[in-house]
Amino acid sequence: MTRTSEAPEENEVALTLLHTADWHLGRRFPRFDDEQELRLTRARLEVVGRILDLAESREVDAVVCAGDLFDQEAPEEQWWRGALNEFRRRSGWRRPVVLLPGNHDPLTGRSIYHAGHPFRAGLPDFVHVVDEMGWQLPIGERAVVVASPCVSSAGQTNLVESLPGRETGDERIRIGLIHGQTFDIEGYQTNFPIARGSAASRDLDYLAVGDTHAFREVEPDAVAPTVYPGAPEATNFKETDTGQVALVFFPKDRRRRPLVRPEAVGRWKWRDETCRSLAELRAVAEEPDLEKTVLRLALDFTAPMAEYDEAERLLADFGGSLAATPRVGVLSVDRRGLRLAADHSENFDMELPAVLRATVERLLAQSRSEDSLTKEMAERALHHLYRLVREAA
Amino acid sequence: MWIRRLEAKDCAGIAEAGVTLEPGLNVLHGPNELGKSTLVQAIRAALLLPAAASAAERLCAWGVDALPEVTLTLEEGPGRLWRVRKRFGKSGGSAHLDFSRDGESFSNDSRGREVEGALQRLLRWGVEPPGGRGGRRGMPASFITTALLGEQQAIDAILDASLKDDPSDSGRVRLTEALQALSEDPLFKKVLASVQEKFSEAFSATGRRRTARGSPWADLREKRFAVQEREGEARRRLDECSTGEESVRVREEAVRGADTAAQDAVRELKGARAVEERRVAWKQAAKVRDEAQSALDAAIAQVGRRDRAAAAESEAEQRVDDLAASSAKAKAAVAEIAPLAEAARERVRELEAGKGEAARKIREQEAEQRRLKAESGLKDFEVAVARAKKCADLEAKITTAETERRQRAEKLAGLRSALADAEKTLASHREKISELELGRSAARVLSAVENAEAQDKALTETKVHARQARVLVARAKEQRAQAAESRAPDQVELDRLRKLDEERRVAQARLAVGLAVSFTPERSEVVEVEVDGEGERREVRAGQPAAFEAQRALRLVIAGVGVFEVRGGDPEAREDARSAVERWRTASGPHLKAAGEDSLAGLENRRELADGLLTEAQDLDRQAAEAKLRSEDIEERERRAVVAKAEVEESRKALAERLAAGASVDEFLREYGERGNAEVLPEEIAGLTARIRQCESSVASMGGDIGLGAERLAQSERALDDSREALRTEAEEAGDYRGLLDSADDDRQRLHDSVNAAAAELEAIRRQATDAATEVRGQADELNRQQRERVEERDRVDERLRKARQDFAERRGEATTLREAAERADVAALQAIRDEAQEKLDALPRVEEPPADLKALADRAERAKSEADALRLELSKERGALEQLGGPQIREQADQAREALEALDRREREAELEYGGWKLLRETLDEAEKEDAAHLGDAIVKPVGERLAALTGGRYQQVGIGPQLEATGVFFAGGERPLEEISVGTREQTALLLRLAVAEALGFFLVLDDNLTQSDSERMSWLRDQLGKATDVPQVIVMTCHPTAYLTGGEHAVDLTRCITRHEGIAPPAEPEGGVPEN
Repeated sequence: MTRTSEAPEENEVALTLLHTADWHLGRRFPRFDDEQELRLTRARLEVVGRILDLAESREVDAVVCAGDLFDQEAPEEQWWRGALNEFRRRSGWRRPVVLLPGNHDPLTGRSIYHAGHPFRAGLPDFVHVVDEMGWQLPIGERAVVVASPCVSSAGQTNLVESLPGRETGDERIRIGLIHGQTFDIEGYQTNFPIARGSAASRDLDYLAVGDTHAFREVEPDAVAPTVYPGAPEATNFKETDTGQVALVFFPKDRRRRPLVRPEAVGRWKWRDETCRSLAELRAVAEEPDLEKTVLRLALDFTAPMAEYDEAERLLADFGGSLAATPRVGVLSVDRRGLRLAADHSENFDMELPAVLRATVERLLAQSRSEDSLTKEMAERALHHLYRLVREAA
Repeated sequence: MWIRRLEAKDCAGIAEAGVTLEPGLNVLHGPNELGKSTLVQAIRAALLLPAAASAAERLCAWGVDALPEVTLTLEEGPGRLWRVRKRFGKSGGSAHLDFSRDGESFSNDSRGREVEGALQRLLRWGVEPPGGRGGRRGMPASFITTALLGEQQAIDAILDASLKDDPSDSGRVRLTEALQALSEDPLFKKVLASVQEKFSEAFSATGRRRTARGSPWADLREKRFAVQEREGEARRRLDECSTGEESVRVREEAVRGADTAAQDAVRELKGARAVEERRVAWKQAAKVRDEAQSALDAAIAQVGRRDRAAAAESEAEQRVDDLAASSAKAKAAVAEIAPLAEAARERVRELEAGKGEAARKIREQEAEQRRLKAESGLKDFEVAVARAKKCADLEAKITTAETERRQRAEKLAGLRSALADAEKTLASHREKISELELGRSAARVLSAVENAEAQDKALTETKVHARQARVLVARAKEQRAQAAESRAPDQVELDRLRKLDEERRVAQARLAVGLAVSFTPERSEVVEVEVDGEGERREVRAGQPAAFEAQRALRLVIAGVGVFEVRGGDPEAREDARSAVERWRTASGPHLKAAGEDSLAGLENRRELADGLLTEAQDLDRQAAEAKLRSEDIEERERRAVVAKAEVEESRKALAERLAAGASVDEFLREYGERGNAEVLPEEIAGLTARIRQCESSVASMGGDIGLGAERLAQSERALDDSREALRTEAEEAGDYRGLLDSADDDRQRLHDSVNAAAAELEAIRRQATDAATEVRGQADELNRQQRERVEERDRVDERLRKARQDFAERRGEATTLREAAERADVAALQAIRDEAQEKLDALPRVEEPPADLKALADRAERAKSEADALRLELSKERGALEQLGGPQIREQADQAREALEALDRREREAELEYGGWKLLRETLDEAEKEDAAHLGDAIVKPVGERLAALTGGRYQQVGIGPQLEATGVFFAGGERPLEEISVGTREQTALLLRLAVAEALGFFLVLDDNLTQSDSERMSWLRDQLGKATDVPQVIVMTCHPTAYLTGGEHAVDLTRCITRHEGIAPPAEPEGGVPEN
């Protein structure tokens, strides 16, 4: 059957689906300090609410979550409790939400998806967990979701092959739901591989997959789209095209290809910045929305004491203090490249008592050391002294 | 530090003396020769002189055989009192240094030689401890001893003293530390305080990193501990994963190798089997072809026989038809001649009515009888010959039947042999499949046992971890309980107590202004005295002034008079001290009581001990957490172990059912295990089962063929038996039918000859009749002969017809049988079968020799497959385990942990740089400050100069003091002048001011022994005021014989005449070494 991918008119839509994956609730970010880590971990939970709100506002017929909703098979209670509350808050819902265990949160005896786990037990009726191979859920009379869960952290099985085929006379829209890696992801060790043409092999109208954190349609030319919606919030600096879910519109005219449209839900941006001058650092400081930014900032310039001090103050402003909210949501600073122009004539141009002047001279002498540690430490000491003298003045 | 009490016994002229002193100005007055300088000497000796020092001889009592004893009680600060007790003498000398917090109960700190070292460490006056080589003899001296304990005869010695002459550096260090505080700039002070604050966040006073909670290093350490633990765990799991992957890779390689080997072996086996199958196929095809050929030949022979029988039948029928026609003709001829012959015979009978005729008739009758007899014999002979032929025919039929029966028997035997072979093969297959099933059952048992053992081992390990976790938790709990039992306050509380203690000490030190009370009772009595909290009872004599001195507080209880209390310090300071003490008591009381300690040091020791225990507890907690983590899945392990055991039992049961009754499962498993734990693939068994089904089908088919063949054989045998019975019956009648047939022709000729002879004789007799008669007779005879001949012919024809009919019937029966047989034998089909068999045979390559050692090849292929299967099973297990580990997540976690570690490294580096910067700044500030303070004179010039200027009314503006505190001159009239140029009095006053400044800087007592002898009353008064106002000096002790110059009120005056008991009537020695002290 040849299909076209033109956007269907609203009254031509047979079914609307919200496809999301890779929430990674409870994910830790140990590279950051505890407070920042907690901020990022919470952000992952906050986006769940926005995803469900979007589903409500767009009046989708179903929400499918294609695995790795939790970062571990048995996350701490605060994370699954938070997700559970998000679901239970929507007690009047009738649209089904399908949760698929992925390789991070596989269906095992210890898993939160296990029937005895309070998370599973507490889920409202409209939330369904894929808990067997070839699982099926009718979406009204027009569609059916077929899915198979990951039951281990790693595997070489193409789970699509475990999905049931279309029965004779079944004309419903068939939506496959699988977690795994498609064939064309280079540089990755394949885990739960999904072979090319899998959607067609099972006569699916749409194959909803999860694992890769970037939004991508795997086979754009295929009759049935195979789509990764990506993570709704990024998990590291390397990831691109994150922060989205997929809205899928199935036309009534079955000859037409479903329309897949990314929809932004994420709030956090992960940025890598290197400032090679104070001006560049000032420019970063002027930017808005830094409070929802994970900023990895490297400084690489040499400055006289006054500028050095300003750079330090900007960094302090970015990072916040007990008395001030941080300007940057999550900050990681590499300041090894920030050096003091020790011999600058205006470094200590104020009047100093003899002892302090002697101290400055001694520290300046050390800041010219060949030993980088001695040099850096002397620069720090000079800056401390500079700040103290300025404050005292 | 100040002197609370001085006691001396048997020192020079003093028999016994006891003076209680107080903070502030103490004026000890008494007349000359009372022993004031001896008391000063006693103080010096107590603090500086070893008990066995020769210089102590100066203290020896004059003319008294007793060793001088001195006891000096010093207060270093609030709650820190030292008591020096020395008895001087080379023999019998002793020294003790005791410590007390309350001034009442003292504990020994050191004794003997150790006392000097302990004192010098306590005082740090620049005096070397005794014992070193080259040490100076006599009374040890330094700049500080000169300043604080200057001798009477060298009032201005301080002006000549210099720190550079000190034997030890300790005095210079102490003075440097003390004088620095005097010269600090406010900005510098502020900076230093801020730096110190930041420094203290991370470092202890000694520059070591703080490890207590709240310090940046502790936070980082805790973080590092957590991160390293996580990273270690991630690395361990990654290693485990990598090991698993490597193991899987190795196993995959091994499986590939084993598969290749197995494929090679199978290929080789298949090749050999193919050769064998070709050989067998060719053999079977040849056999089939031969059988088809035989069947075809038999069918063709059968058809030939049928055709021949049909021809014979046709011939016999023709013969019957011919003979029937002949018979009818003969019968017609007989019927035609019979009336003629009868008429002729009637005429003959009529003719022969005569006698001669009668005799000839008798002979004729006799000849006729002989001829008839011969003819009868010929007939019997022909019948016998016919019977003999029948026997011969039966014999031939029997031979044919026997051939057919033998062929059918051979065919049946062949089928039975093939059936036996097939059954043998079937039995072999069944035996093999039974072995394979047994092997598979055994392999399942072994695999299940191995799995059960592995699960048991894992369960045991998990239980061990669980037990370890419990033990570790219990130990951690014990450590925490011990830490709790120590009842040590936490670090924050301890810091608060330290601060309160310091505040209390400072507040109390501010009260140490020195108090002196003089009391002259009207009557002698014992009063209760409480000096700075230390009580004693003392007897006062009527009319004699009693002096009481204290640093902070003095309380006198005089019976019948009342209670006098004197307290030092201004009201605010006292309130501060009371408040500080109260705060200290309130704060420390519960802790000290709970801990059973009496000091802050005790609490600190307990805190340190508790911290150590808590650190150990944390370590145990971490170990327990690790162990607990490893024992988390114990229930799953137990379930697996139970399931594994059940699988073992189940598999054993299955094996036992397969084994022969009474056979031991364990013994079989042992034998099986020795042969190798090969597991048989189900496909192998399925293949074998298929072959068995084929064999069974062949056996069933062959069984049908054999049944049919046996039936046919039975038919043949029954026909043979019938033929034999017929032959036997015929043979019984025929006798030697073979001999008869052999001589039949001769016998027949002979019988014909007899018949012909009898006929010739009869003819001759008949020729003897008369002519008429002869003619008649001749006609009659002719007619009779013709009639006989015709009858005979008819009979012969009839006989031949009968025989022909019999032969025809036989031929027809035979032909019918053969026709029926021939109809069953489809020659064309058999030929097609034969041709097909021949084609198949031609199509097959001819293999004559069987391949070598097919069984060995099969065994090798089987072993190779078993090995590959075993490796595949292992691979499957390892893959399963690896899947549970989860490679990608482990790598992610490892990456996260590594990034966290790198981030922590950066943070640690940042902290090291940040706090290292603060530390470096502090150190550099210290160094710069020390360098700045190295010129100690600069720090002390100001207080001395200001006082000198005030004293001299501005005449002398400044005093010159060098870097080592050596006095260089005074400034007046616009320049510095040498000290030698100023007056003795001014020198004396300058020296005093310098000593006062040093005492102020150090916070030590100052002893002035009859100073200011050269000063006028105005300056004397001014100086006395200065001594009284010098609150930075904890204590000034003035020895004087002019009390009026000092006693103005507010000072602590001690009338030494009331405190000193002198040896009566003993004069000083004539020439005491080092001069006689002037009193």
